[in-house]
Amino acid sequence: MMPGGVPSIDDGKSAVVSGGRDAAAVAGGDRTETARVEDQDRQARRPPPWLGRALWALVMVAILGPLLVFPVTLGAGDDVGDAVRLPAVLRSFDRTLAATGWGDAARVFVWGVAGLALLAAFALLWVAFASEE
Amino acid sequence: MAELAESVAAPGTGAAVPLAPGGAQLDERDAAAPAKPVARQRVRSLAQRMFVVLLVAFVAKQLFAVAAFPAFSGHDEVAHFSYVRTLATEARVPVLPELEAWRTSRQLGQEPAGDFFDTDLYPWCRFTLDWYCEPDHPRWGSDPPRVVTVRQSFYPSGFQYAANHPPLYYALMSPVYLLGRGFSLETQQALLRLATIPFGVATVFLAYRLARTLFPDDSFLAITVPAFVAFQPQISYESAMVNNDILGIALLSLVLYLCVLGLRDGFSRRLSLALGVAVGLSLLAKGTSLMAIPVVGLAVLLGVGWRDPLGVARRGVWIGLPTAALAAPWYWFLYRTYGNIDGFEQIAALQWWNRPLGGFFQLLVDRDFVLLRFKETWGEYGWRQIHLDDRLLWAIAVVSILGVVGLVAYAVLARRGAPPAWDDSTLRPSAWQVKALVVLFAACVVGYLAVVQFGTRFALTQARYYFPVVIAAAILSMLGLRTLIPAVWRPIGRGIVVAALVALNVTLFVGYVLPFHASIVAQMPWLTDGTVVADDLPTVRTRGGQDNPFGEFGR
Repeated sequence: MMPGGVPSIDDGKSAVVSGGRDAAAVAGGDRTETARVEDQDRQARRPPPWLGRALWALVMVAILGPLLVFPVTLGAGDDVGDAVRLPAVLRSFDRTLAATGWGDAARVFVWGVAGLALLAAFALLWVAFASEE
Repeated sequence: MAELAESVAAPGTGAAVPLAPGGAQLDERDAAAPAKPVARQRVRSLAQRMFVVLLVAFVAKQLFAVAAFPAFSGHDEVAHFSYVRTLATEARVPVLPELEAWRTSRQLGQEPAGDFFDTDLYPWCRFTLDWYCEPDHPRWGSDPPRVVTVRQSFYPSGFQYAANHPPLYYALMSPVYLLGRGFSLETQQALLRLATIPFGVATVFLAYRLARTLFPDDSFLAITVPAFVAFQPQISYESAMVNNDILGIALLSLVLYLCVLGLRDGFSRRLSLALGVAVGLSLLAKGTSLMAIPVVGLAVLLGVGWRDPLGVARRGVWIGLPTAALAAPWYWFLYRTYGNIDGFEQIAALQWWNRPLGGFFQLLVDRDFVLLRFKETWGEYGWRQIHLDDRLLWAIAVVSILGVVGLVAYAVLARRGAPPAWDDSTLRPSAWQVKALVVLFAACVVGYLAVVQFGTRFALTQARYYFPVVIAAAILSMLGLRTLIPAVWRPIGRGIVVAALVALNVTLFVGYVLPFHASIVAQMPWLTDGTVVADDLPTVRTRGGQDNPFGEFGR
């Protein structure tokens, strides 16, 4: 028996395709038909395509939402710091960037790549949640 | 190399299913031929699209990380920077001082042998080991201490303790250093940090290739394995720092990938020579790469077969020759300079506090030792500067445990045979795939044991010494998670895995890394003319390497 329940034409035994379909005709040699039937089976058992997209949107909200709504508790354990809002964290980093003396162009670049990283990460999630396989 | 792997595993060629004795697998391959190319093509297209987006995300994240971590705050960044400087400007490798010779020279009023950090690096002394650190002290600020007393004995302070590291990384960075010489020290180190990003990209690429080579039909692994490597916080950290770890990680990843190729296609002369070059270069990048030798040995033994000792020996020569040709001069230099091949005797004498943690078996079962390795694998950053919240660590631990449980389930299913109704070729690995997984698992075991072994000599053993096997760990843990997810839910599952990794990174940057940056800048006003003070910023308490009580190191 082949991986995936595809019958082997050489094993000389009766073959059963996953999903309980009669495989006799398939074992007779129409392998393309087997693949098609298998594919249909797989599609039927799969979650609806919109679910991945909906989850993608949900994940975006789940990642960014709490950061935007609730204060962030900084640090951990003995080193736990204040609970502050996201804009305060970002502002403080911006000020430290300014203080390091790399100039405004570098600051814009740093924030630009941060935005790009976030956008690309969400695009990556879009692809990862794509249902095709 | 990618083309080689791709062409061999190309749809329809069936080369990924080797011919078993009796030709059984060939028969199966023929039967599946019409169905597989379509599925494989679909997986490849999805995986390629994903990989391009992943690379964009990774590079952008790394560029941000270069700025997000305070200058020189990476583990031993000052030491690595100083090594690059010595090699670039003096065309030589730095040398460790010998404690007794140093003491004698000092008594005689002579200039002691050995390299020390330049005075201009003293403002960042808190990120070094063994440099008495009081940069705002009126005297030490302008004339950094070079000697300290410990229990009434004299010890050097601010010596180049990374001098026993092999030179490849520093040689590669030298042109970058020379290009940036006119800039400030912060800018110079930022340029060097930027130059490490390609090694991170190479590691992510090799993770992708490994997943695609090992399981060409599996989109879950093709997406989650490289994503795991790209978003693993400490691998990312290594890839945005001035350090030789990331080069070692990239080269050992190449070694593992070549081992898997060898197991699939056979260890041809060409592949064996390439493997030898990769092992030799990895030994020139980082001493911890020694772990490659037993792993490669196992791969060759499994690939060629113990019944063919001549074949194994021939591969040994093909691999060993380039390895020796590349690495031997370095080890000869170490032996000539220090009388040993690692400089550890000298380090042990100089670092009076860096004592053995315990015996091998004692550390193997020491709960605190294991816990700290886990914490260092996901957080801590550098010399244990940023501690992660316990809840976050627990969340990571639960997923890690699930990965292990799933891997055990995979091993059982693969051994006993998955139910025929399960349409899952990954659960039915062929002989070479099983061998490859055994080699990857062995690499992880060897990597961890090497860290334990190092702890029997030095308290400062760390998780990063096993990071070179990250692509092996990634594929095994993702394989474990995959096994626990029902087939039809895997597209959703892989999305959730990637989402968790993205969420982890966002949390770490917002809650830990950026406030840490603010804290450091606020605590080092001499770097910013006092324009930033602690009161103005949301900060966390920080601990530099030197602020850590040494008793806590490694425990």
